[in-house]
Amino acid sequence: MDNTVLLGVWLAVGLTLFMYSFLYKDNVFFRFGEHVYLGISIGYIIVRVIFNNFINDLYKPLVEDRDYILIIPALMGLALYTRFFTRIAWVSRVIFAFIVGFGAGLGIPRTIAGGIFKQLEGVLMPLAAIKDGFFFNADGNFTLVNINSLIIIVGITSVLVYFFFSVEHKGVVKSVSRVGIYFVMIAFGASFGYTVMGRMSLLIGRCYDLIEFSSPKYYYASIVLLIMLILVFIIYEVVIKKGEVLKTNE
Amino acid sequence: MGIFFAVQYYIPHPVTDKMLTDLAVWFRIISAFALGLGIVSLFHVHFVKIKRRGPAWGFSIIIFVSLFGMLAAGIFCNGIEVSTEAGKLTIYGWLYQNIQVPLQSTMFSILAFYIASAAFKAFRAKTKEATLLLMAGLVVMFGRVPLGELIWESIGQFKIFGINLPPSLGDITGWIMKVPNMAAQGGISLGICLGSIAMALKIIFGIERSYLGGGKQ
Amino acid sequence: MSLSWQKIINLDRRIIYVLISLAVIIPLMKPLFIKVNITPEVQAVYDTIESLPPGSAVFLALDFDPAAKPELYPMAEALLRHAFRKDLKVIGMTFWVTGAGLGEKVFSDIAKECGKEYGKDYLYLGWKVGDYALVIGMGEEGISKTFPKDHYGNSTGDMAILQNVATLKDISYLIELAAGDTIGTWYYFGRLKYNFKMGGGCTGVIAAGWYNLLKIDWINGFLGGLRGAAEYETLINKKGTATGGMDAQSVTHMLIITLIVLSNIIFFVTRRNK
Repeated sequence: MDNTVLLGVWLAVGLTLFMYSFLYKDNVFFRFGEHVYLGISIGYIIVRVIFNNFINDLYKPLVEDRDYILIIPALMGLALYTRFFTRIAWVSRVIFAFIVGFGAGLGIPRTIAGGIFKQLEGVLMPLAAIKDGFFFNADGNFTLVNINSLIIIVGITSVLVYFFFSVEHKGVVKSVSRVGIYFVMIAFGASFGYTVMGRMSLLIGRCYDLIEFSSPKYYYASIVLLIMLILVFIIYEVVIKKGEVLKTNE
Repeated sequence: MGIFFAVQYYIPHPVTDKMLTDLAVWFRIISAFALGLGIVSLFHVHFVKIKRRGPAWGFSIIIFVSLFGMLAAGIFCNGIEVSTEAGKLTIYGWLYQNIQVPLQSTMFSILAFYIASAAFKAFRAKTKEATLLLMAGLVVMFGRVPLGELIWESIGQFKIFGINLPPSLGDITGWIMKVPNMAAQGGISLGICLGSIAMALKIIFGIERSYLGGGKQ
Repeated sequence: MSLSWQKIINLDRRIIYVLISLAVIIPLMKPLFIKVNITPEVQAVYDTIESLPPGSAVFLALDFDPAAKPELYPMAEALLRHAFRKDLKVIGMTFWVTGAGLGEKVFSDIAKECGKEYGKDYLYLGWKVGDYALVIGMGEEGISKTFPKDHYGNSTGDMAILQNVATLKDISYLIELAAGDTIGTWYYFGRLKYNFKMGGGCTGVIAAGWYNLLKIDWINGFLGGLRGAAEYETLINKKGTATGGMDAQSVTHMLIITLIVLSNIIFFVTRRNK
């Protein structure tokens, strides 16, 4: 096996165990890993922005294609940094207004067409499609489709009422909003179930790698490094900490 | 700007389409600069920490060392992670695959332990609403794993009035997800859509200015 | 009596951590490969890819980073395997900067396994700042104008794959693998205008919300979490990390269900005693 691959595996396993050591308690290994992660991530992002955006979108079109109009967005981009100088910070606000206004303008019609209309269509279409009996389909078999559509309409309406704070929740509004709460609770429960699945999957993924790297092929990287880390903790807890306690008692 | 591009959607024309495309390029360039703002702030915070020998300032040095190390590696490799000829990772790609990937994956996988511990210590059926939440959660957790389905299948099924009972676990969890869950998610997302339109209009008409920063100025 | 109940509730959290670790590690080391049933939403994605004629273009948006790797990476592997088996042309990119390298790895690994040629059968564009501006660019200006260079720094303009797939209008199916809310960007600025079919995959955390997207026809199917990935692996008949992880998933779920039920029993017993 290539030495760089082996070195990479040992490094990855070591850093993984550093992070997991936090489960025992906050410690210097975890903090080290946490800060390395922050530095490496930002370094990675800067490199990607330099090569993918500045060089490909700005430098090359400007220099090679002589697309001089791009000087304008470049200056606008630079102007964002005026926010660090109190006197001319207003310039950056103008640019922010440009970016946010552009996004807001693009967003409105699309949200209406793709969000609101689609949502309403999704609710009303199944009801409009009822041609046969409510409980039985064309073949005479029992069907839940229409009942489900009805439940969905009741659910969406009551949830909207629950989140509508412009009227006081009393009387009919209160009763409807209570139904809304029940729907929201079921949805949150379902989300919780899926969230557990998601979080466990992440752990499974890491353990999968750790188990793979504990094989002889990788010179038992996971096992060796785990034992080493445990030993360091034992030494710290038993020898060093105990010594410190004795010193203070004296 | 906002009004123009909101209207442009409904009245498409080659000229305005071209404007949209050109401004999209501008937006990409400005966004690239905007990304730097956050990085400058982070630099500032940690630089000041080191300068003043603030608490745990040594870790701020680690941030700078790893950041500049990655930056140097990336520039040295021209931003290439895998050399196409050899099919091998460059130093930049190597650092990404062996440091960034395991650290980030592990950081988020720790949440698995917390969610289990929190579920044991805090998830109680104290009210009707909490009971509903708990029941839905348990059914989804049980029904979305093969072992749960296997246990359920072992109960067997019988027919009453032409209907198979009990329904399969997949059908039960599917119903929860596609009927009550979807209804609530639909209501919430409809609310979000309406809220985001209201917010966009407030931004366009200058009523909402918090995104500009600077407090109450 | 109630004191001992209380002891159980006040259990050191690290004991729960050990139990969870064992519930993951043991099934991973001794997997049983319990059968994974296929849900209609996963089947729909499979059927769509299956129905595409060879040479059709599929766009794979890998909008995740290493934090969601265990869930979405196996999905990307399975979907790519399927698309390559069907001789589809696949173009990939990501909106998540720290996921750019993962996208590169999954494309190069699976393409190598399936004997596909870069630039002709598949293309990986990588990442770039821009969000919806990139979708507008790829739809209007063209893919090669928006991404003049790919992830490796090669010019995209003369690549064979882009001769027939110049813009997003030429895409037959867009698959969004999401760890966040990027699907809105693809829908509002892509599908709404160019009307390509859309399907996807997402992390477990956001899966419950995606059922609503099915209903309102944003997507025609999706793979939810590791379970969705395992189902897809079953459909393409190639066991991978997702299928291998499902036993561990089962055991951890059962453990958490037991913990919740136990803690609630204790809660009701102690409340009644009071």
